[in-house]
Amino acid sequence: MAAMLLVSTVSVFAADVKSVGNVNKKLTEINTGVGTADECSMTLTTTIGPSFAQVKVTCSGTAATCVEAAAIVKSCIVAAKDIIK
Amino acid sequence: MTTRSPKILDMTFFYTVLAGILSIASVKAQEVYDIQYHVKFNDAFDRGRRDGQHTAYLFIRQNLTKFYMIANEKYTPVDENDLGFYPDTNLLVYTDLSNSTMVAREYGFDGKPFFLIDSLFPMQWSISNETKIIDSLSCTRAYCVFRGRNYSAWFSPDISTPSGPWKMGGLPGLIIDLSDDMENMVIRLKSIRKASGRITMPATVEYTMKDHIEKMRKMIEKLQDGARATGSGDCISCQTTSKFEFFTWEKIPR
Repeated sequence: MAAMLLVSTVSVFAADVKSVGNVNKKLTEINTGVGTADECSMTLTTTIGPSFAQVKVTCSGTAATCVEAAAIVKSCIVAAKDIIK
Repeated sequence: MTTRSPKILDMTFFYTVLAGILSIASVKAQEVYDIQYHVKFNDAFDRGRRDGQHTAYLFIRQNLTKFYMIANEKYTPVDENDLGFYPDTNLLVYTDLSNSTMVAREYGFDGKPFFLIDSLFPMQWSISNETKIIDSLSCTRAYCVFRGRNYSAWFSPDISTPSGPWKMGGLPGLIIDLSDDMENMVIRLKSIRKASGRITMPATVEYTMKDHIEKMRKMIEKLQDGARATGSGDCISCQTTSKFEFFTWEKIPR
């Protein structure tokens, strides 16, 4: 149940950010489906620019919850975009 | 020994000069072409493979040239994180051989176009003994390194212009085929015909390639130094890493 809730949380956030590349959650006892998350890490890769000159930004964040991890990843991407502008 | 009168000498000189003028005029008249190329370009150069087909146009009007290419198919993002884009016309380059000027239109990462002044044909060509006929044109192969990539070109002295596709040129004949050694960029002659019309260079451009490289360097430094996310202030256990990779067709000297 706890695992399902976490997946649900991540899914909602992904829809909001629209740029979450992949989500890697460390869950204990995940095979049983009853584990709890001790930390959540997220990685987001974005490619920006014209085809002849692009920058690939990869941000990773690890936090106690996926919401926090997603937040720091998002802030990393936003910071990079601001510099590129 | 016979001697010619000054009048005959004058006439000989006159006809020699006239023939020279007509000859130059004839050559100049031939240096007016509309050329099309097939272009295959790998959008994912240095990362993988994603070849796209384009049609390129080179207009030659004596000393002025204009080049650009248009994608045959609309750019489709790899996924929702792909914020790359393909302008309608790409690699727009003007040259003015009369004053050794090249003006190129580039795009920033933000998608905004701008013009810059670039060096005209700075590459050092090595002309080989390899020859072949391409579309009835006698061609010779040449090699060069240009901004971090190795190129091979087939040029034809039959078309007496130092021009070529994109920023490539400086050979004793039109570049007919061009490719880099990884075949990320492959350009092949599609058609060539005599033409008419004019080319107008962009208005005064002061921004140079040197300025642009400096600007890019500063941006890279800024990204590497300052774009590390900190997360929310109350998140003590949060960790973050960021990585920036630059993929530029014309490699930026570091």
